[in-house]
Amino acid sequence: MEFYLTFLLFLIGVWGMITKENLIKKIMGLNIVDSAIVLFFILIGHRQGSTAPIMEKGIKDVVDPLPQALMLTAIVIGICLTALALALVLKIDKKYHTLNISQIEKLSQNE
Amino acid sequence: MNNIPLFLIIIPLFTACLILLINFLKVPSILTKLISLSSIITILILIGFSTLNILIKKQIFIYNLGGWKEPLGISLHMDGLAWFSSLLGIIITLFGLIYSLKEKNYSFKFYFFFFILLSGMQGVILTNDIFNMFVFFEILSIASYILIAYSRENKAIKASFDYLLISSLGMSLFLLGIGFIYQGCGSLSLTGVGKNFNIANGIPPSMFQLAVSLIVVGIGIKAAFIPLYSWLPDAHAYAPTPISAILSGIMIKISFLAIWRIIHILEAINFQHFFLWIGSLTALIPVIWALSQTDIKKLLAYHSISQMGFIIASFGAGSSLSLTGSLYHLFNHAFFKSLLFFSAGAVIYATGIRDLRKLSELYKKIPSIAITSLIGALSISGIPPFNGFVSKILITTSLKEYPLPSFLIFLAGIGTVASFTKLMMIFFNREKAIQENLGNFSPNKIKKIPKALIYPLIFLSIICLLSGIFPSRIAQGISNFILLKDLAYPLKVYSPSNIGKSLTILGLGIFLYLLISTKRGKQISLALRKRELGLNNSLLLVLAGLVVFIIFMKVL
Repeated sequence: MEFYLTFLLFLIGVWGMITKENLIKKIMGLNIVDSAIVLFFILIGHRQGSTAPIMEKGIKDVVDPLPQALMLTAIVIGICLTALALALVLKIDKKYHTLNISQIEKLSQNE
Repeated sequence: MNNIPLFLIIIPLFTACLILLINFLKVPSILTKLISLSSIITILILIGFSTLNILIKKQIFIYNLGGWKEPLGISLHMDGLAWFSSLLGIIITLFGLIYSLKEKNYSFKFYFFFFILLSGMQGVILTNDIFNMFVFFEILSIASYILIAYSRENKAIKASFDYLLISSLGMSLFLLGIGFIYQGCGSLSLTGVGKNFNIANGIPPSMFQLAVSLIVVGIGIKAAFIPLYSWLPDAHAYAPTPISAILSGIMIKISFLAIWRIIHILEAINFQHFFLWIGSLTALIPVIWALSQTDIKKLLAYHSISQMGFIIASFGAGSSLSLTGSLYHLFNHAFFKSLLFFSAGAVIYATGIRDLRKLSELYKKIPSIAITSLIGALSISGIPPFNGFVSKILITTSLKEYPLPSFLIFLAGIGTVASFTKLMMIFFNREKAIQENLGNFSPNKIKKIPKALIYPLIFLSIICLLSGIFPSRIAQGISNFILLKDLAYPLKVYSPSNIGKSLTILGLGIFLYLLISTKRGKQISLALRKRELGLNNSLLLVLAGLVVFIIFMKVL
């Protein structure tokens, strides 16, 4: 069930990236895709009824810590990408005075 | 010796930091250039040291990061293929650096990202951990997005943004594929994945197919095969010239070599065969657009995709001869494409114009650039005795069993000749460009080209000629030392029939050029030029490509 929900989230993100005309909404779509993937990885490592992998005395049943560690990296990369993308959007807005992708494409073809 | 792979990644990163530091200390900028050059030469020497051990003794350098052994930790592997791609990357980067040294517009930021790009490139080649590969891919991509937008022109920023979105979607798919692999076999090191992640070991076939398709499509966006290439022409055309040369010359190939390694490790043989078709279509379709272009660098960018098609198709055929041809063409393309980009950059530097239609008779003004461009054009068109001829003959010989792909590749060869005839016309034609009312271009305005721009061109031309003159040595070397296979039969590249074939292509190509320069041909070109995919459609095509790949995996 959880996997299907994650997949749905992924599809929502991709749909946003493809159909939205506004550049910032496209970046939001990318972020949703990223979150879906983070959830997917966490689900891979998850087991019912187990606890966080902090190895103190008496803790036996833990989830797989590796996907969580991987996702920390992926989240950091996602933040970098978002920041860069927003910076580029700012520049695009200064040059073309619009955030609508089809208008921008029309303008850049006429140059 | 075993820690050489580590140094190949660390030295560029360290150099990047050093460049930042130097800038804060307000030291004259000549020091930046000195440090950049010496760092790249150090790396070159390190690779040179490893040659004997890797190629002759067939040793593999393995370095475990942090001392953790393979299934748990990340390790760096350097084998023949990694040595080859690493060396190729460094040589092209060195030429790019020399070319950029004379340019005054490039501040320390340029060199900073330049070295981050180099570090990411070496990382992708050397790492033996699939998640680590993802991280290095992202480092490489982020540096390249920034470098593409470096000129801050409208189109460059737009191209960079398009590339960012498309490539990030691809990287997400790649990450998803990694997730499936980890779920399936609980291992992330490529060795472990190769051992455990296959259908014989109880992995469900549908999961295997899905994971392979996701990974191939994810990386494939950077390797730019059909239908994933739509970001490339703009991004490579509007980047600064040294960056265009590095992106076209080496970055797309490194992504392709990553696919190469993953497919070999997962033993997805059926999938490899699919690349024969993908590759031959990739060789042909971008050429049609290339023929219609009027922007010098955009024409070259379309040809990068097309030449990748040759490489990919030859990889798909899978015999030892075709793999050798593929690597040989990869090697050659790195040199002649960077030669062509540097020459185009020099033309733009000298005249300030990037529209083909406005330029004419440049031969008299800048003869050195005209000659190097001619060498590049002859190489890419496959005319003897230059290197493109040799590798194209290897590829066509190895594809003999597959009539339709070799026909597509033959057509692509004709298109290549035609569009490079069109490019060469800016140097050699007599026709006055003023006829087309495109504004006056006065030949007196031509700037003098500094020597630093010309030296890389001369070196690259010499390499193009030398690797064309000694074909069998290099082909044998590639197959024995890098692919660790013997070539099935002795090579005879310079036979009369092969030369005849290449001259036929030349003749047909010039005929095609005459066709497209008629009035009707120009109308068609204009219509084609207007039909470029927008961002939304490109993103949609990525998904469509993924679906095609998954369906194909199911069918076979």
